[in-house]
Amino acid sequence: MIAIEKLAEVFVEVADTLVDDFDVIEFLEVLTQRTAQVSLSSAAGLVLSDPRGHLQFVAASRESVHLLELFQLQNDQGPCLDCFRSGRPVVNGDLDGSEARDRWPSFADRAIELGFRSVHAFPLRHQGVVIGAMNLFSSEVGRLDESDARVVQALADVATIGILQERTIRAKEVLTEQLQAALVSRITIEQAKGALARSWNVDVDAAFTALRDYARTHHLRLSELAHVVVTDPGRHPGLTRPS
Amino acid sequence: MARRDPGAAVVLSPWLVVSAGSWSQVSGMQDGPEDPVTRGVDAREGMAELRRLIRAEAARGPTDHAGVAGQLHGLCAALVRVLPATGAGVSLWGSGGIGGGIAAHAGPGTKELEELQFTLGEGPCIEACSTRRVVLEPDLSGRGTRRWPGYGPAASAAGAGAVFAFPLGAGSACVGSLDVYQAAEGSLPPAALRQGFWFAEIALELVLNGQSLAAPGALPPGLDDALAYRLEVYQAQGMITVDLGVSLAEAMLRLRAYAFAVNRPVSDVAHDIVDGRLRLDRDPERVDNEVRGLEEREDREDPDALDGLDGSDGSHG
Repeated sequence: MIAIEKLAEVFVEVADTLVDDFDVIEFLEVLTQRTAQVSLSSAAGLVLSDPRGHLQFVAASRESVHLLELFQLQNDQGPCLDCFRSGRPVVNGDLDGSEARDRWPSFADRAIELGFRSVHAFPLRHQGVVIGAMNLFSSEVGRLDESDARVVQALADVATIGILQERTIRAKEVLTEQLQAALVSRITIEQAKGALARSWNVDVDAAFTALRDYARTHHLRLSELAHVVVTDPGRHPGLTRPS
Repeated sequence: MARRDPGAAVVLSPWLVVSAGSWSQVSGMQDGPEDPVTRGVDAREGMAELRRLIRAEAARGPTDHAGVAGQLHGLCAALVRVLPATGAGVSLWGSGGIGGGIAAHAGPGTKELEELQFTLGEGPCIEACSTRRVVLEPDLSGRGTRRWPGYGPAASAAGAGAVFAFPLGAGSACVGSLDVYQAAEGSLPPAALRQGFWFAEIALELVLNGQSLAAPGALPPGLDDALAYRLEVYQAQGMITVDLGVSLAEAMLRLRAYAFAVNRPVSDVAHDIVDGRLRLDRDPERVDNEVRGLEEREDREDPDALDGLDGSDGSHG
């Protein structure tokens, strides 16, 4: 049975990592370690799907699990992959049992070699979409009871929320920066048009044509050239100084 | 668990993080008595309701408001209906305080109030964007005037008693602000403040959705058109760098100082400069003469009088 007091501590610790300067890898490392501890497993590991649907290793509470996760991915067999594909947890997989040996023969051998006897896998899922899976390994043929399994699934859900949160924020950041860059480059081009129009005593349309032609001839990006024109006009005297 | 950490709300309701998270936290905002979970459910339902209102308002709006600009127009119109506000506007800002322009506005005089900050180079929206914090100023004529010596009195004179600016951004970048105006002085009630956060979150969402559909390096089509009106200001700024031999920053200051001195919007002054009807002089003292020249022009209604304003006499460059 998972101890309630320990669990409360884990939730508080995990919630703390979700605030300022959120580092998703650090968050997942803490989460896998704590999940292994509260579930009395020896170790835990986490894999996530990339945008093309391929699983990638993300975090492990210790190095042997890192290797096992990679082994599953490379050999395309193991409880993590089953769980990811079905979206359902794999609980109490006896590595020496016939079922495990049938389903994941090389994985079971490898895991036993590394000292493990049982394995569990829980999906990271959100609104019907599975984004990854969390594996637990134990050196004994322990039995996670139903309520334990629910608790571990809850911790996997916390991982899911943290990951999606970070993805949403990062996607927003990228778009925000793109919008800002587009704004600034548009404004800079207008400033350069104005400066060239005055230097050459022409209208702004003619200035823009001159700017664009110069950029083409010299293989420069329009917005970068515009930036130089208004900040350091001496660098392109052929453009900025009337003959 | 005795603690009521905002992190707990984040865990249980991820869509709260933008408004309740560290990014745009209101300093000193009281944590309400509600349970974070209840609050999360409220937020989801509340935002869904606001989205419906925004869509309805956008559909009612003028047809020339295409794409993101139309949606933002719907948002401003919905905000004025839902909150105790007389006006709402969305302004976009590039990095380094370069103003992109007013993307949408609703309510009488709001456009002028939004433009005022650009004219003066200070105000709640600029502050919200540069500090990435919500700026609440319930007393524009009093405290607001000490806070922004130029903007405070000007905004009060333009009929605003209180202003609330919500930054629009993610991470370290801010692209603009949602600005809420009240004719009367006074704070936003807590429920309205929360809705303000939701409106801001939706505004950012609309802008970024538009950006995700834009061509590489370009602005979303609807926004591009909405911001076009201000391009002359930047052309004029570039012209002033050459006319006066000054940096971009100083050119903008000179443009603003001139517009302030003659009591005209920056965009009007910029229009005259781009048209070649006005040229700022190298000597700052000449601004006085230019002002006098403009006053004479207004008296005489004679466009030829503007020729006398070309103080540099072509001696630039």
